[in-house]
Formats: sequence, structure tokens, C-alpha cells
Amino acid sequence: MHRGHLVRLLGVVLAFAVLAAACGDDDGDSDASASETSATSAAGDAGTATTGSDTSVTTSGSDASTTTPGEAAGDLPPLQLGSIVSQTGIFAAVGAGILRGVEQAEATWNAEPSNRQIAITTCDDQSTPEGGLACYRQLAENSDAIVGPHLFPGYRAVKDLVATDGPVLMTGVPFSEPPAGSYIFQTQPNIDDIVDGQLAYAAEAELTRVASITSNDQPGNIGMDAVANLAGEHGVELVAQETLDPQAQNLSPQAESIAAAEPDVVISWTIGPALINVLRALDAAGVDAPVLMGSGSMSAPILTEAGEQTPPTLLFVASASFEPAAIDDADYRARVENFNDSFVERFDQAPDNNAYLAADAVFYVAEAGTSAESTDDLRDVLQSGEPIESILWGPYTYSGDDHVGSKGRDFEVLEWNLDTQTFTIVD
Amino acid sequence: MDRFLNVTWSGVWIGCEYAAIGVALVVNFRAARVVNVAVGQVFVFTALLAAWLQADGTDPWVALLAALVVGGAITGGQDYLLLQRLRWATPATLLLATVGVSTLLSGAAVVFFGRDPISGKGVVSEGSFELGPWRTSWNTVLFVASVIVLVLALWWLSAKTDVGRATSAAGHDAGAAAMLGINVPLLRLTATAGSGVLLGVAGALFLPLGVLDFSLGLRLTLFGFVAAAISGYYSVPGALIGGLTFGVVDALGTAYLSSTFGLFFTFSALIIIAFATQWVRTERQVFETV
Repeated sequence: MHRGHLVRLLGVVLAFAVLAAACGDDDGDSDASASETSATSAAGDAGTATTGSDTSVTTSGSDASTTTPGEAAGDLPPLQLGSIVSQTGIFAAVGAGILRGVEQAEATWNAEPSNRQIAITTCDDQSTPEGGLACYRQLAENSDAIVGPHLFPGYRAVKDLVATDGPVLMTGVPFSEPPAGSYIFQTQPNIDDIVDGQLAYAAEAELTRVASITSNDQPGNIGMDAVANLAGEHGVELVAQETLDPQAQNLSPQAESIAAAEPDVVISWTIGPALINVLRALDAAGVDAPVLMGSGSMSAPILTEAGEQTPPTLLFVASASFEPAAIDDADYRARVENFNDSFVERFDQAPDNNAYLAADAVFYVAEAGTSAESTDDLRDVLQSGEPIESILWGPYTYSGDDHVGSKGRDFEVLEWNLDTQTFTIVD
Repeated sequence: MDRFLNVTWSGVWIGCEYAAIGVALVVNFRAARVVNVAVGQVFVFTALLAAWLQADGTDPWVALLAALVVGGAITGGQDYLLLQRLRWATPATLLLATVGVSTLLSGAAVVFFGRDPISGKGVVSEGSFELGPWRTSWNTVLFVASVIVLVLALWWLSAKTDVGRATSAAGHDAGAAAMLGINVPLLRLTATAGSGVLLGVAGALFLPLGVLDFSLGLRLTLFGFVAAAISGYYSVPGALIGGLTFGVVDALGTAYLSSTFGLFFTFSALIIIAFATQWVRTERQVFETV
């Protein structure tokens, strides 16, 4: 074979490889794929050469051919939303849940004809800051609002740009610190607040010897510091403090160190595949103390994958939306159950926390955008102080000074039941 | 003592994972003079394949067999269809080709197996046991034993048989070997496919020990490279020892020094080991010269 042929062959192989990695599938879910209406294009087409990133963009539509948005929502065109999701790279597994949440929220919202329809353009930030920035540059110009990045690498890259230039950006990063009056809104409580809830539960349950195991990324480090700083306030003793690389496969050293400290409870702050490794390593090391986690770890697929090789009691500080039957407000309960049922029908699995928070971000913007005609309108509606309905945390309220909106919430403590693959509120 | 023993053992089994990949790198290098970056992704792909088959109801032994065959087919196919046809290319081009294969496998893993993290069943009892202070599972023991046996078998084949010596000679100077009547393409194909078999077996047996997803390949290649490089990137048993050393040093450093700076201590220790090894070799050469 001629050398020129070989070079071309190599080029074809590489091009196919990059295309396959960028496109992927949607977890084998043919229904989800079928609902998407348009194509995928390379980021380079959209003028992102400055980053050199190979982000990809997918536009899924409000079904505009069958709905006339103007008739339904005050003659306004469909609200254009950009969605930044980590579909490849080290957070791809987490991003998969986020993408499902975005798709389900879009379908749920657009299914109601009286709603102003939404059209979402999704961009893969490849779990990197560069990818997040490239996605932002592609989406910002033609989007009324952006949902995501919900993971910190992408968010960190776009925060300063969005804060001053817009458009409205809804993020699930639980330490986004959105500047007052900016275009950034956070859809989750802060890490410090959740850790405070964890320690309050530990103190109340008289689990006074606390060990922590946290990932060595930014949210993990914030969680670790919060545990160390707040333990004294709750009268508990921090007996072991371990960190982990989220991609590490052997966490036995950390688990053995925790076992040696004989804690009453272990606070874990990590998500995704690392969570499975943490739980299995603790079990293998003979730790039978309860493991207390945040809502970010509430993923039925992940916990099911961990199986029985975990400490016997897995607890989570979160909202009641993971056990809808316990929600008092009938409308809120119905909304959560409707979302859950549609999600299971579509994806054949229960939504995890990532799906919920991503869906909420879409719902907030969609609801606020019902009558908004500009980015500034959208921001004003969001920070007007009017409660906005959500799935994960109930009614949300932002103000001009507070773009986190969930400070001081009452948390529920839920327990994972492997047999039924559900969470139930602990009395 | 309990803690030390179990931490060390965790370093042994994770070290066997690095060793399997390191040995595959060495075998590919000896046979084809290629740093095959794709081997980590072959490990991941075959493991995900086995898990996918298991989830579909396939017996774990059959899934293991499938992983073994597919692992051999991927690395053998990579060599026969791509690398042998690029034999006059520069080392950089060959490296790029293996990066392309790694990326291709990563994309294929997403398409076929999804993005979610996956673990799987073992081929033997899921149970664990204790022997004094030592706690482990039968699947962990089987993984470690299998990797060691397969690596020793590869070492015996490569160093103690005419075929193995011919393979090394063909890798060193393919032209001269061909003039001596050695079937260079066949030997390369056999050796590289053998490395894929090792990766397939190791990948499938690793399933009950850890969690894998499509994105881990290049990271595992890096750790396998470290295992292989410790012994000079040419010795099969050396890569096994390198992998075990890497795993155990990392585990002990993480447990007893700092989990935050675990890899820092590990690589610091490995640099010291590299210097010490070079010093010993130099001293031995001087002694032999004298």
C-alpha cells in the first residue's frame, strides 16, 4: 500500500474515532434520541478556534411544527435555551444524569400547550474549563438563557464572563457564589449548608465520632473544610479526615485509616464512580458505621451498582422530593410524581439528583421566561422574590441580593433501600 | 498490623492491574517497537464488554472468554491492519496511530456500553474471607493469581522459547530477521494478540474489584507505563515487579503519609527507586569491568 493511502487511512480512523467519542449515544435510550430533531455539528464551525476545543452542539426542539407558541404564550417566540453538559471526559457519568434531566424537563414543559415553548441547544464541555468557555461562546449570542454548567470545571471558566455580560445562567454548582445582581443563579443549597445539616443530624443522633472522606476536587475540598470548621459547633469530634482522587480505583488505604479511627459516622463527599469505590472500600475495611452523604450522591443507578458491598446504612441530607409520598403540598407532590413517572418511562431508571437539579434549572428559566422579552427581563423576574416552582427543593425564591435562594432550608435525612431502590425519610 | 497487611494487599491487587497493562506495553514494544497507548483502553473495553454481557444474562465464564477473544482480536487487529502497514512511519506517527485507536475504542465503548460507571460479577463466589488479620475476597485472589500466572507464562514464552527469542529479534531488526527466514508479521501478530488476551482476562476479572467507565483508558496506560518504565521498558517480569511496587508504594503512602499527597509521595519514591536502580547497574558494570 502506498504511503499516501496509509496516511489517508489513518486520517479516516482518527476522524471516526473523534466523531464516535463526541457523539456517543444516549445510554441506549432510543426514545430520547427520537425526540431530538436536529443535528450535531463540530464546535469549530461556530467560531471557537480560540480554545481549540472539540465541543459539540446538539439542538433539540420544541416541537414547533405542531405548536404555535405565539398563540399559547402571548405571541412570544420559543424561549431559546443553551445547555452546557459534560457529556465526555471525567464527569461524563455525572453529565449523563444531567442530560437526562434537561431532556425530560424540556419534554415535560413543552407538553403543556399553554406554556411558552422552549428550544434547547446542548453543548458538551468535555468536563473541562476550556470546553465550558467554548460552549458559552457558542451559546451565549443566540440564547435567552443558559442552563449549566452544573459542574465546577466549566462553571469556573464562564463565571466572570456571565456575571457581567449575561445571558441568565442557572447552575447547580453548590458553591457558585453568584454576585448580587448578576446574571447567575444557583439551583442548589451551598455545600456549607448541607454539611451543617449533616453534622446537625450526627449530633442529634449522638454520633459524636465523625470521619470524613472527600474527593480532592473543589467541591470535595469545600466539603472537607466545612466538616472541619463546623464539627466543633455541633459538639462532634473529627477522628479521621481522608481525601481521594475521583478516578482512583483503590481506596482501601483511606478506608483502612477510617476503620482504624472507629468512627460513629462517616461523612462522604463525592459523586459518580468514586462513590461506588468509597462505599465498597469502607465495607471491605469492615466499617459498619452509617455513611452520611449529600444530595449530590443520591443516584439510584450508582447506589444500585454499588450493590450490597456497602456499609449497612447509607444516609443522605436532601429534600423530600426523593420520597414524594412524604410531601404535604398536593400540587408539589403531583408535580414530582409526574416528573418521576415520565422520567422512568423515558429512561427506564429513576432520576438522580443531577437529573433533578438540571430539570429545575430548565423549569426556573422556562417559568420566568413566560413573559420575559429580554435577558434583563428574565433576570428581573427571577430575582423579583416571587416563588418559582421546582422539583428538587420546592418553591424557590431569589432576590436581587440573593441568587442562591435556598439558604437556611430545612433538610430531610433519607435512607437508601437497596431492595426497593428507593429513598425513605428517616424519622 | 491488620491495617498494614490489608493496605499492602490492596496495593498488590491494584498493582496487578498496572502490571497487566505494563506487561502489555512491554510485549508490544518488544515485538513491534511501538509504544501502544491503546492498551489501557483495551483493558477498559474488554472489561466493559464482559460487564455488558453479564448484565445481559451471560455466564461470567463465557463473558470472560469473550473478553479474552476480543482483547486478542483488538490488539492483533491493530497491529495487522494498522501498525504493520505503518512500519516505515516515524515513531511519532505510530504513537499517534495508537492514540487514534484508543480514542476509537473510547468512542465505541460509549456507543455500545454507555457513559455510566460499570462494575460486574466475579467468575467465582462473591464472598469474602478472613485469614487472621487478612481480609479479602475470592475474586481478588483469583485476579492476582491470574495476572501473575499469565505474566509468568508470557515471560517464559518470550524469554525461554525459540519463538519468543525470534519475536524479540524481529522487533529489534525486522529486516534482518526476515532475511533469516523468520515470519515477522506472524510473530508480531501473535505477540500483540497475546498481550490483548492478557488484557482481556485481566479486565474481565477486575470487574468485581472496581468500577470502570469509558474514560479511564489513558490514565491506566499512564500507570502501566510507569510499571513498565521502572524496569527499563523491556522486561516482562520487570513490569510485573514494577506494577506491584507502584501499587504497594502508593497504597502505603496514601494510608500512612497523606491521602491528599498520595501520588506525590508515590512518584517521589519511584524517582528515588529509578536513581537507585541506575546506581546499582552502574556499580555492577564498573565491578564487572574491573
